[in-house]
Amino acid sequence: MAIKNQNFEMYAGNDVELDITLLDEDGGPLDLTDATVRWALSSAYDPSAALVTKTSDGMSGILITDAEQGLVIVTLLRDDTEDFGGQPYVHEVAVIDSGGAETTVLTGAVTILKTALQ
Amino acid sequence: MINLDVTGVRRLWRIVSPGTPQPETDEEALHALHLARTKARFVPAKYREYSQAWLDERERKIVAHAVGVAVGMESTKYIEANMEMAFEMSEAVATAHKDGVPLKEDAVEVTRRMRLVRAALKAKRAAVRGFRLHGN
Repeated sequence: MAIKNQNFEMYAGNDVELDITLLDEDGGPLDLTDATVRWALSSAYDPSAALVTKTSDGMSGILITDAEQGLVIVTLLRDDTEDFGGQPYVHEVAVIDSGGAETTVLTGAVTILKTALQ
Repeated sequence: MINLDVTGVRRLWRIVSPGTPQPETDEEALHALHLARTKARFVPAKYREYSQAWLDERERKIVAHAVGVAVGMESTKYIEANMEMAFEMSEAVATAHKDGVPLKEDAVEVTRRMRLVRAALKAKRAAVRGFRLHGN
């Protein structure tokens, strides 16, 4: 049960921040207190095999900037994507609540553009 | 500057300001050109805006805003209803985006639209239930 088509494009090997607002089913902020947020990037040809993963657990690439307002920043470092490009990718975000239930909250396509200057 | 002439600006830089630090790469020179275009008053607005966007993309490192929604799924009984709810709310966000509503800066408007479709969907379900005959 997720918001789809949260698409974005980026340059391969760039530092990128994904600024994400998470909402509950009433449209209000999703309370992320005691929750864990996970993000994954995978090839659209094989979405089940994550190429890059980030998690807020231990602040490994995801920072919950305001838990009560459901605000999250996913940080991609240049090493994460420097070898990517030339095929379609997909990304998704899931939230594991304090009770351990996991919900996928957004999915989308990612276009990674190759550049000459890396 | 208007044409973002990297080679030209590097040559000019060496001639006009030989004593100042020179851009070491074409990328550095291009960055300097975009920065200059955002400051120079004679540069037409459309070029200034393009350069500002170029710089924003690289300097602030934020290229995307996204919205996620957690639609509860307490029981498998409600899977279909929740999928419909998630679809309608996705459509509301997509429509808001198409209408030019900034997803981050105007989350209130996005939320308002999501609540509208949610209310409409709930009303529709209530209406459907209302047709159920007594005794069935």
